[in-house]
Amino acid sequence: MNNLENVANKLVHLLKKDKNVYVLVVDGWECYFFDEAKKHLSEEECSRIINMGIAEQNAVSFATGLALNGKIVYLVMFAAFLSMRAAEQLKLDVGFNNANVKLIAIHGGFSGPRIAGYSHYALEDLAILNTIPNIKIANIAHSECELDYYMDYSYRTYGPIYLRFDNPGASYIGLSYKVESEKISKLIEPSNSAFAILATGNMVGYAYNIIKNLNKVGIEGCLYSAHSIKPFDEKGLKKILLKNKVLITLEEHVSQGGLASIVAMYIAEHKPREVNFIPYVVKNKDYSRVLMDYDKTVHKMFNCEDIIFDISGVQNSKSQGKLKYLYRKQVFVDDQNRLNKVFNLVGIPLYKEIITNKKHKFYVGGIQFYTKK
Amino acid sequence: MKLQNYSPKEVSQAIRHLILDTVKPSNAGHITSSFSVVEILYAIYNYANINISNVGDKLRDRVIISKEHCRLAQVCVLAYLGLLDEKLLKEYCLDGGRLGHDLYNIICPAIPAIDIASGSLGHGLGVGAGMAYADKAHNIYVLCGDGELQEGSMYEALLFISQKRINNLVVIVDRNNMQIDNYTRNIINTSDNLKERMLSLGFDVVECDGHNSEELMRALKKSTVNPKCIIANTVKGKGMEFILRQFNFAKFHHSGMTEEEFKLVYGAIKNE
Repeated sequence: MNNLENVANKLVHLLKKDKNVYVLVVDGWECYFFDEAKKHLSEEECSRIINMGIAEQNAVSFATGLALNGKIVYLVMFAAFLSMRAAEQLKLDVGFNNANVKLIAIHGGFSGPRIAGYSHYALEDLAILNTIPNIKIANIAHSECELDYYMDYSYRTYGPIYLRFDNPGASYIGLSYKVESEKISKLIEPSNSAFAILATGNMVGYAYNIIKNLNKVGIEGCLYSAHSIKPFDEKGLKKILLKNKVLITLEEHVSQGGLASIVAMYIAEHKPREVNFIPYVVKNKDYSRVLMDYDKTVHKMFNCEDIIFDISGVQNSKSQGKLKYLYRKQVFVDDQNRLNKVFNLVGIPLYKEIITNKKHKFYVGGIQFYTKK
Repeated sequence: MKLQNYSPKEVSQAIRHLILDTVKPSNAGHITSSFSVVEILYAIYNYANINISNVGDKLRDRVIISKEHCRLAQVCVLAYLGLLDEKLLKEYCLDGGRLGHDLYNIICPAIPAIDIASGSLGHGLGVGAGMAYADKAHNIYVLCGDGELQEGSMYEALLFISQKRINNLVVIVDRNNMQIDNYTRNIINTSDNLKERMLSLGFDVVECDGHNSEELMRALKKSTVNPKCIIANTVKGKGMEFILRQFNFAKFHHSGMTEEEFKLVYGAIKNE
């Protein structure tokens, strides 16, 4: 079972349970979600699934109309098109009216289909939704507890909420923990931790892999999931900052307006203590350098099975005196430095030596390194 | 290099073959949407003034694919006509590859014939209108889908084109009566009364068989008083319609195929 199937099942359940529940889909999601399920639904229940066609703006406005007349509306569409194409409808219709519309945003972050490319990635959606009053934002990890909680929460709580699903096809991390709305969840919290990772959405799974790998070499770290992006749990963040000297944030989003930006703002404003803050974000520099390098570095870096960090690629580009243009695959020179910084901070000072002595390979945090032995 | 020695049927077969070859390594691409526009794109590129000597120019005729799912067909037609290095097709949709929906000539000089990045529907027509408005000396051909006409932004652009009488822009609608989930008539019918709608928007409408090269050429050559809209009647997945019986609509639209299914489709095209 993955998030996508699970969401579909939950929506079918809600359609059966409550006659006020409507599910709107834009073109492309009816087949995925309800091809099978429709066989088990009555005609009346099927009639509450409405295909809005290829018209995002109208879909959001129409959903608002239904909601303002007392329906509970689940709107299923691509995060990229929902957040940017229908942004004004979100602001004026859903947000301003506080309409009871539940926005199911599929393919947040980089998880959009590769055949479609950049147009289908949603790297700005959290920032856009963050600026709209009333709409809550939950970025859901590959975790059954978060999904169950938020599908239930969205049904029983009045008001608009944006449920962001990154990479809906991926499998679950298989860890159960306590989820509460507007709170940061604690996944791993050893007493002698060297650092903490605050991740959101898809990246919680990657972060879990890093910590498991670092445990193998005797390094302990905390892991938290910031599923509720708005409202944000500032008290929870303060606790984390007081407990850890090093805080890494992980998200599939540009640096502005996402998790890192919220955390940075809090630290700057409240200065709870001196802290080393290392945000991993998509560098919002230049569209022509198609941001896909992030996929190669950050994603693969934290996935322990893959060879991720292309050290040779970095050296090549240095020797040519300029960045090498590999479409969707570009490697940034400063990533290696950032990485060293991370591991120096968490107490692994030998990394530079290990890298320069390229003899044997080993993995830490999914990153391939070389040793003398 | 315009290959006029082959019969239209042979050309279509060769391009469809190329499309399948291109998709196979990544097994990702909109095969059926691409199959419906093979003849249309081939006719447009033959008719438009785009060739190896001017393809790198800043101003020239342009072909905009507003229904971006046909980028696959576009690159194959371009490769077939020698306007794109055939070796590049091997990179289609692969990691690090230079062919995909979001790459275009300004950021990737290896594909000079591809003029805009798109991917989300309802953008190409507006962009094309701007290009045509800015450069009246050249013609802009915009290929749209009939499903795409459900996008509100399409009407904003159509109204603008008709109001400003942008006659050097030609709208070509690939009317294959289908969108991802179903036939358009079962969702929002933008296909059946298309001619009347375009007429009422102030376009001169030419209707033709979108799989017949001669008819397409005649439609492209025809001069009109108002901005021209060509409605090309096509079949989605022309030559591989039988696959729809095994797949559901969405799978038919963009899913990969197994080795077996590829074999079937290759065979069907050969015998077409």
